[in-house]
Amino acid sequence: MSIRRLSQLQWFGLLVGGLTWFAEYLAGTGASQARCNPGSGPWGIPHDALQLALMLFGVLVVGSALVASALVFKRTYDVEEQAAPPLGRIHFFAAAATAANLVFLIIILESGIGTIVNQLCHQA
Amino acid sequence: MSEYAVESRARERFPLGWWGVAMLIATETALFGMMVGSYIYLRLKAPVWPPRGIPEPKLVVPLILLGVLLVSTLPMWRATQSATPKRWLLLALVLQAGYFAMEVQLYHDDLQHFTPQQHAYGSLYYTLLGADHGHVAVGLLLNLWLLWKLLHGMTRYRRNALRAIAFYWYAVAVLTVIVTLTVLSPAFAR
Amino acid sequence: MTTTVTERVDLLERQWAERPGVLGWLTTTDHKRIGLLYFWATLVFFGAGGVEALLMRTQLAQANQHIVGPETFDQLFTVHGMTMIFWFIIPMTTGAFGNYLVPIMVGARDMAFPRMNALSFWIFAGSGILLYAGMAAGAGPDAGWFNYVPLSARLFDPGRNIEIYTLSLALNGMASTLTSANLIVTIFKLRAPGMSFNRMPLFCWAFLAASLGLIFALPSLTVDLLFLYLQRNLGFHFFDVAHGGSSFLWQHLFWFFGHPEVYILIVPAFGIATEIIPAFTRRKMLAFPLIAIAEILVVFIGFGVWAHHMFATGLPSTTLVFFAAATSMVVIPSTIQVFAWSMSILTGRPRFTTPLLFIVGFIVMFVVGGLTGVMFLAIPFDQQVTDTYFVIAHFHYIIFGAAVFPIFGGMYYWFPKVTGKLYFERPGQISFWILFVGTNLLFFPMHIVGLLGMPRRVYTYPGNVGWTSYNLLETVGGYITAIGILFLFANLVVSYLRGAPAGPDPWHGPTLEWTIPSPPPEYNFATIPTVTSAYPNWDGDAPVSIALDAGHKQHVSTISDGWTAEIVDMPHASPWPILLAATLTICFALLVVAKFMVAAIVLVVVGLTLVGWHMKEPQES
Repeated sequence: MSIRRLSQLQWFGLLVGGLTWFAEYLAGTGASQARCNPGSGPWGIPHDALQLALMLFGVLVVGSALVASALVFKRTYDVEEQAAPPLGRIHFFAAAATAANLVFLIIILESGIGTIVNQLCHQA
Repeated sequence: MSEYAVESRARERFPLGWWGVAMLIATETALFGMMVGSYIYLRLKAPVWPPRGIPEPKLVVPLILLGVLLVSTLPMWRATQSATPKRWLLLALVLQAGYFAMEVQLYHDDLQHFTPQQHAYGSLYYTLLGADHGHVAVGLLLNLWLLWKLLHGMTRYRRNALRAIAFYWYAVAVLTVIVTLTVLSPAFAR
Repeated sequence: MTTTVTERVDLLERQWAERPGVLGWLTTTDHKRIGLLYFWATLVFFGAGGVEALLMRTQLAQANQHIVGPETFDQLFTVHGMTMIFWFIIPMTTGAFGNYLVPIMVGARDMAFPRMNALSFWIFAGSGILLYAGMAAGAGPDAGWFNYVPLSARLFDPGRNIEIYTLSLALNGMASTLTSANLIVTIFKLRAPGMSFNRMPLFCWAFLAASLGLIFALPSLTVDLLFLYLQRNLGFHFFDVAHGGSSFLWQHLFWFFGHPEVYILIVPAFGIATEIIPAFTRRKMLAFPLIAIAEILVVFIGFGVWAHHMFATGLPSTTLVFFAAATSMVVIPSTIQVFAWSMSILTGRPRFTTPLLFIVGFIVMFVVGGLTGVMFLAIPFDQQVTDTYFVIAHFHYIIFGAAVFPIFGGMYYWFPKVTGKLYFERPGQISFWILFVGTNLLFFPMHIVGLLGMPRRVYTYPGNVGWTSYNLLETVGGYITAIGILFLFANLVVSYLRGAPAGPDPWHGPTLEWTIPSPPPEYNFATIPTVTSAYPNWDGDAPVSIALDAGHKQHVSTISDGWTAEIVDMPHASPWPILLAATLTICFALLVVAKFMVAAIVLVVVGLTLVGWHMKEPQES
């Protein structure tokens, strides 16, 4: 794989995962609030379906970011931590992004499953 | 008598001033994001929106004006590419000033029908629009300042200022799209 | 013809010389001077916040006391909270440590926007004057540092107290935004050749994380403050249910800012820790990429946990689970860092000097505070302890332990660099132990008394509920802490007056500041170094360097890989920042008393000042 391709995958893994998680997260909390408030009536989208769709979207995109960053990490495994750019920088961000995307994936799964299982519109 | 022993690989050509404006745009985007979020939040809580007695927003004129503002970004962009930017800047300024004047008139007209003191709907409507118009006003002042500077000739600093201010205008245009669609939303998304 | 080294240094000294006297300080744009201005100003506010704390602790030492009345007590806890967060920790970390050290650590001669740097300090000073002038006039904010509506609405708080709150905070937020923007652009663009992102010191990663957090979080607070000001002064409706508003809106907007804010408070301190540990354990940090991403990640995920401050408000369970989920995972980056720090110390050859002692103390207290934080994520438990002293215990372990201890450690660590003198080690270690004992005695009993039901923000309590002896212990701890702080500063003052010369590198520290004289010259680097790692002082001499001795010049790099992009001309000293800050503060003071027309005229003056600022253009190269 060329350095250019490695770099592109590295940036994809680093940036897309986090931004997608945050957007999906805001959409999920917003949708859960909408469900429990009068203003959402006319839209009529079932809560479960919406939250499942958001979760699956998140899993897909963040999952691919995770795969991309893990792939780049593996391809640059022999590169030293403090090596010269671009390879040093690519390896560094690939390591960082792999850890980050794993965390985002877990939050997406936890929150998605949680909001589908617990549908109370009041405090328990 | 300086030595530049390291090979220059200038891959990015955005000047520092452009980065300063980028930081401003980041905060202002977050600012408008929170205001739009507040609008959506209070709208979700309301059984009727706008409340009874307050008219739904009109669509036609605001959307045409939005188009004018979007079009004005073209001469702004052209100015950054041109060897004679003043004419393009002047054209942009005319469009932007026309947009602003009309918007102030519409704002004033709306106030005759409902006020921010009546309901949160009005409070959010006027605050969101007022903040947006404020950003357009700042942009107009920036353009006037830039025109005045360019009357005294072009320098690298002024070229950088032109790029930075053009970037500001692109962002204001995008934010205005979001704000306009938000405040007009009761008319097309019930 | 090449210049000799002496000629080059003479030229730099002349071109970068600061104006003498008070005028020099008022018009300075040098990041080191601005860092020092922030340092002293924040210490004044720290003192004020400390006096407020001691007054509260004295009032609460025994049951049913009336040393201060309830209204005064309300102002004390509100202003104490505001002061410590917005006028001490944030400006001390980003303004003092950040301004002074980040440019040097990345190999630059100044921040990206030196005049804007000065502006942020003077606006910060103006905001503090506004707050304390309000308090002196009897109109100190009094609805708690998070200022919930409806208590802070005009109906329940009719005076000008809340205007002092909204406007001093908004002004302070502007200063923080400017500093953050400056730090981000400096870190992105002014790095020395060869300093790609993987070779940037972890200190700079921490400050990048905190600055990015401030840029995106502060607007939420600004919107909240704007809404409240409009509601209170112009009759708008955002937070009152009767007119379509919601009290929750205040809380959501506040905590969307407020939670990232608390990570912003501690992340720079993490950065300080990650510099002190390598220096005194004589090994590089373990898991370098993971620490760098952990610093960014804790702030980033921190944007998603805000409603965990609202677990007891009646929000739908189906919404709260999102926040419980994100809160459960926001712990992970902090845990990674705690393991990395601990393992680096354990596998290194530690010298327990004063700075490292403060870092060890920080790790201990951060773990305690972090554990109680994790307990809060269990919603039923949170609902029991919300608004009790258990919460106060938690956040003081985090703030004092995880923010203030590293700040003290950092003061000792960089003291030789800033002053050119060595501090006295024995008194330094004693000051650490006094503080460690004092803060634990002060804050630990708060866990217990909170579980026993003592609510926060009460000015007194009954004598027959079993809280008295814990409160007394806490007050004793508070006084011991105060003694420790005074002893610490006394040591630093005496060290400044009598300490031995430090030389450029007393610790054999890893980063670039240890390669230049102590104190650093105005231009920082005689030649701009190239770097080959995040520990440049351990790598030996740089292979090549850039001279940059003609004019007032700065090297600009590409963002991710640190290649040379261009050379720019930097501004000299300027009177415009202090003038602009003064007019802006006056404008805000006028808004406190709702004098809109006069404020608008002053705003025009602000605009004219900005025009004056931009009259002088940089030299073309």
